[in-house]
Amino acid sequence: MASDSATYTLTGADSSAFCSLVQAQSALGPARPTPGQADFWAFFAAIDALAYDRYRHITNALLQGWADKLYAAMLQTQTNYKIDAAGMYVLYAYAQFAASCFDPNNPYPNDSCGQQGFPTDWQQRGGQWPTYDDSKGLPEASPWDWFATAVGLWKPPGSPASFFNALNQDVNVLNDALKAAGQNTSTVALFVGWHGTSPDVASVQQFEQSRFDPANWTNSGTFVQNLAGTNLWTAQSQTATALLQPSTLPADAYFFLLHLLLALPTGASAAQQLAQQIVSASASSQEYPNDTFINQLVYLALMYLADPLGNFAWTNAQLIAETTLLSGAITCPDPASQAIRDSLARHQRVLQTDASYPLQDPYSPAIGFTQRQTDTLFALDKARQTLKA
Amino acid sequence: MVQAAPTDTLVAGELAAVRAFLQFQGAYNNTKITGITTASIGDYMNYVNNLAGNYGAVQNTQWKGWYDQLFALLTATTDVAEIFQVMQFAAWVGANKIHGCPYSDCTAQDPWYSYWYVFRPGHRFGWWTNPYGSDAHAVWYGAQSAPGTPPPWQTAVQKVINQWGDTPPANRINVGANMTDNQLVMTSAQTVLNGWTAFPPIAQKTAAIGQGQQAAMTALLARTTLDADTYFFLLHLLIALATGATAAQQLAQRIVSAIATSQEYPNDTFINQLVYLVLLYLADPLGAYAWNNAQLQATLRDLEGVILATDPASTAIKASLVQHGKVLNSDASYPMHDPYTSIGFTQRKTDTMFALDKARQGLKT
Repeated sequence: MASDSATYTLTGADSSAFCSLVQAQSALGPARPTPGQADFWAFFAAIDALAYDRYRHITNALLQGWADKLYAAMLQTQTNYKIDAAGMYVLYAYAQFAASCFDPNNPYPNDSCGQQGFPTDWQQRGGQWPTYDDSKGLPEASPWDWFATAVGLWKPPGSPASFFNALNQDVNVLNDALKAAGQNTSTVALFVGWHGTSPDVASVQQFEQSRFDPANWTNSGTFVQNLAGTNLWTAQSQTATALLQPSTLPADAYFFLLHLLLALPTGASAAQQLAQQIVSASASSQEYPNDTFINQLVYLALMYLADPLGNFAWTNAQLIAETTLLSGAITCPDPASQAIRDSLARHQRVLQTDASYPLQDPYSPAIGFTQRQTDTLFALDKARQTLKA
Repeated sequence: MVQAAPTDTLVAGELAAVRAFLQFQGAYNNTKITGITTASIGDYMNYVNNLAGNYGAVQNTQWKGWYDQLFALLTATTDVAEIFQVMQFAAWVGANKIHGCPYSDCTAQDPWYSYWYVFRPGHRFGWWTNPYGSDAHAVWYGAQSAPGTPPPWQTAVQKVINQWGDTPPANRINVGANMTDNQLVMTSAQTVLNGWTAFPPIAQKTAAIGQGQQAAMTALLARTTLDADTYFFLLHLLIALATGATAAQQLAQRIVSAIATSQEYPNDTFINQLVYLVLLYLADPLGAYAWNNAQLQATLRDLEGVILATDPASTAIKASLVQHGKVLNSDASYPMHDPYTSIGFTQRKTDTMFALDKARQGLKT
C-alpha cells in the first residue's frame, strides 16, 4: 500500500524544523532521565532556533503537531519563578541579548547589536512587536530595560500565537516582580543593575544560565514530566511503526522516516530499541549487497534530494549542508544514534570527494541514477517487511 | 594484503615537511652538491633554516631519520652553527639600520657597544632624543635566538650563542669600534661567509642521505604487495631518488618507465599508474584523507613544485603529475569517476594496485 504522500512530505524548511525539534527532545526527553542545567539550556536553545527561524515555515502537519506539543508543555508548566516555562525562554533570550549584543559602555544598543548580529534580525526571523504592558517597565533596571521595557528592543517570536502571548505575559510578570522587589532582585529571576548602572554582561549571562539549574529551578522536574505527558514520544514511535507496515513507501516518506529515526532514540528504551532494530536491519541492493537499512536509507535520501526531476534538485553543497544539519541534531549516545551519525558521516565524505554524487556513484558507475533509486527503494521496502511487528 | 608498516605511511600533517625536504634535495641534488662552492652558502643555509622549522611535523620514522641524518652531519663540527649565527646576525643588521651616531650624537637608554650587542637576546638600543630636538624616539630589539628544533641543531646553535656571549671571535663577527654602519657590518659578514672554505666538504657529506633513500626504495621493490598508503610514500621517495647519485637516478628512471598494465590503462607506465593510485587513495571517502578535487589539485601542484631536477626520471614524474592535474581540472569528480573508463572506484583501485605490484616484481634487484 502506498502511503498518503502529503502526510510524510517534508520541505527543506521542515527538515530544519524537525532537527530543532529533535534537539529539544534530546535535551529533555526520556532518554535523559536526570537533566541538568546544560540540558535545560540546550532545550531552550533549540526552542530559540525553532521559534524564530523554523516553526513558521513548517508545512508538514505531523511535524507541526509534534512541535505544538512542546509549546503546550511550556505554557502548561508553572515555575517557581512565577512565570510559566515559556518564560524561561524570556530568560534565555535576555541572557543572549546581554552576552552578544548589549554593551554597558554604549547603553543604547542599536549600533552594537547591529554589528554583532544578535538579535538585530529578530523581526526578519519572525519576531513581532511585543504586546507586554509598557507601563510596568522599570527604566532604571539595566540592561533589562533595554531588552523588554518601553525602550526594549526584543521582538518575541510571533508564532505560534499562544507562545507569543505567553512570552509577553511573562514579561509583565517579571516586571511586576521587579517592581515588588524594589532594588532587591534576589527573589526575581532577572539580574539587573539599578539607576542606569549595568552589571557586566558576563554576570548577567551567568546568573540567567544558573536559573536553569534544577537547584534553582526547583520544580523543573514538573516541566520534564509535562513534556513526557504530551505523548510526543509515543506518537513518534507509533508513526515509525506505522511506516513499517505498507508494502511500499515513496522516497519522501523514507526521508521522513530518516528524521523520525533521529527522534526515536530520544525516547524511552523501547523507542531506542525500535530505532536500533530499524537502522541495523539488513537491506540488500545490487549496488550495495548486505548493507544496513540506515546506509540504504541515507543513500536514498540523498538521491531523493538530488533528483533533478524531484522537488529539491539540491546541489552538492546543499546535500553536504543537509547531512551536517541532520548529524548536528544527534546528541544521544545510544547505538542507533551512533549508527545514524556514522552513516551520515560516511556519505558526507563521499559527497565531499565526489561533487557528482549521488547522481553518479563511484562504486556503481555503470548503473544509472534512476535504476539505483529503484533498487534502493526496493531494498528498503523488502527490509521493512522483516521489521513489521 | 600486507599491512603497511608505520615507517611507510605519511599523514596529512607531515606532507609539507616531507615536501620541504624534497625541495632541499631538488635544489641541492647530487650534481649541485658535487660542484658546490661558497657562493651557495646563503641559499643553502636558508634551506637548512626552513628544514629546522619543518622538523617538528615529521611523523614518518624513515623520513625523520633522514632529517636527523642531515642535521647530525651539519652539527658534526661547530662550523655550521657558527656560520648560522653570522647569517642570522647579517640578516638582522640588514633589516635594522640604527639611525644616529651611537657614541656622541644620541642619547641611548642602554649601553651601546656595537650592532652585535644590540643583536644579543634581551638587549636593546633606545633613542629618545633625536638630533632635531623633537621628542621622536625609536627602539631596536635584538633577534638572536636558537632554532626550536631539531634538538641537536638547537643545542649546537645555543652552544655558540652561549660561548660567544658579547664577545664573538673576530674571525666570525667584527665588533670593532668602527662597525657603526650596518652596511659595514654586512660587508664584514659576507667576507666571513666567502672565506668559509669548510662549507663544500660539509655539504657534500649530506649526499649520503641519498644512499639510505635508495636502500629504502630497494626494500619497497622487494615486497610482494604494498598498500595504497605505502605507494603514496613511494611516490615521495621516488622524487627524492631522482635527485641522488647516478645509480639512484638510474633506478628512479627504471621505476618510472616500467610498464604497468591494468584493465583500465593497458601498457601504461609505472609512474602514471602510481600517480593515479595516489589520487584514488587520497580521494577515497573511506580512507584517511577523503580529499576533494581542490585538495587533490593542490597536492599535485605542491609535488610538482618540489621537483627542481631535470633528469629523465624527475621530468617523467613531473609530466605525470601535470597530466593528472589536467584531468582533475577538467573533471571535478575525478578520480571518484574516471572519464576514460566506466569501471567502479573500488575495482579501479584494486586493479591499479595489482598493476603496480606486478610491475614491481620486474624491478626487483
